[in-house]
Amino acid sequence: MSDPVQQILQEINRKAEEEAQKILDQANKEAERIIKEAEEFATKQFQHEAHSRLILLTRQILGKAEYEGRIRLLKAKDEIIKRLQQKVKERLKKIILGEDPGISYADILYRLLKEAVSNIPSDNIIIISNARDREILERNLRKFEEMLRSELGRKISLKLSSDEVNCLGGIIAKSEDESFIYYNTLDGRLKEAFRKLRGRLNRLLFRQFLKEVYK
Amino acid sequence: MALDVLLEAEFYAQKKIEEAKRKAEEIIKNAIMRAEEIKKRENIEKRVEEFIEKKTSELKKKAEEIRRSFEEQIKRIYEIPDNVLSELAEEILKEVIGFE
Repeated sequence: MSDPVQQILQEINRKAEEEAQKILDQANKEAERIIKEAEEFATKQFQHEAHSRLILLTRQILGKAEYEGRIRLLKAKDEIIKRLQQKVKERLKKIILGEDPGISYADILYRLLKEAVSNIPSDNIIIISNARDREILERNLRKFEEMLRSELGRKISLKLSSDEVNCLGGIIAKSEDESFIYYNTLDGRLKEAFRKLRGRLNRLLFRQFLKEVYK
Repeated sequence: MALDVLLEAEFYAQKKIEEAKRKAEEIIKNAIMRAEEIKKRENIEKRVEEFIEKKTSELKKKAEEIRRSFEEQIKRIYEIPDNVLSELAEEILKEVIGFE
């Protein structure tokens, strides 16, 4: 075979090879695109479903653990506060029954009365208490009246109501026309003290004892 | 003679290109099949299930840590010494009876 013919043959072969390779390359490229698109679609679907289910699952599992833990923690704190309240009540009862030699319950009653009278802009005061405190007040009524007059500089007149109040101790004072009432029972003061000290109690009792947990 | 040779070469070249086209069609067909498989609902759901299963076990471990942390806090609360409560009780008592 002559050289020119040989050259033409080679050229035909080369061009065919080139064309075939080009066709295969394009097909491979297209196949890659098709698969990539499918993968992107699947990933999007997966992410969408997995994400929403994960949020729900996290809420279910972690939320439940957190919620249950908080409830149990609150119950524990509540129990301690109740223990504390019980301690205060026990101490109060001792004082009321005169079992605490350092504190006179009559003095306490006078203080409670003075605070109440100071807050009522009337000189004729009616006092309501429980039966036991009524006896103490009856015994000391004139003395307390004198003390109030001298300490407050007002012509105070005290009367004991025939009504009784069911409480640990303390008094309810009101003006004769009942337009002013001052509640100064020990029960009320106890409740108020715990309300006022709640933040401090939380800090003193719980944060101090829990801080090591958070270290 | 030379023309016959050239025609034969042209014939084989065309055959080669036809073969490449057939292969290309096969490649695309396979890719479409593969893509269908990838996009299949069951397959995506299977992936999601596997992922959720793995995450569930991770989250359960975390939940256990949270529970332990609360248990520790609760334990410490119950360990608050009685004298601390008594001191606070005295402080509150003063507030209640009006003595400082």
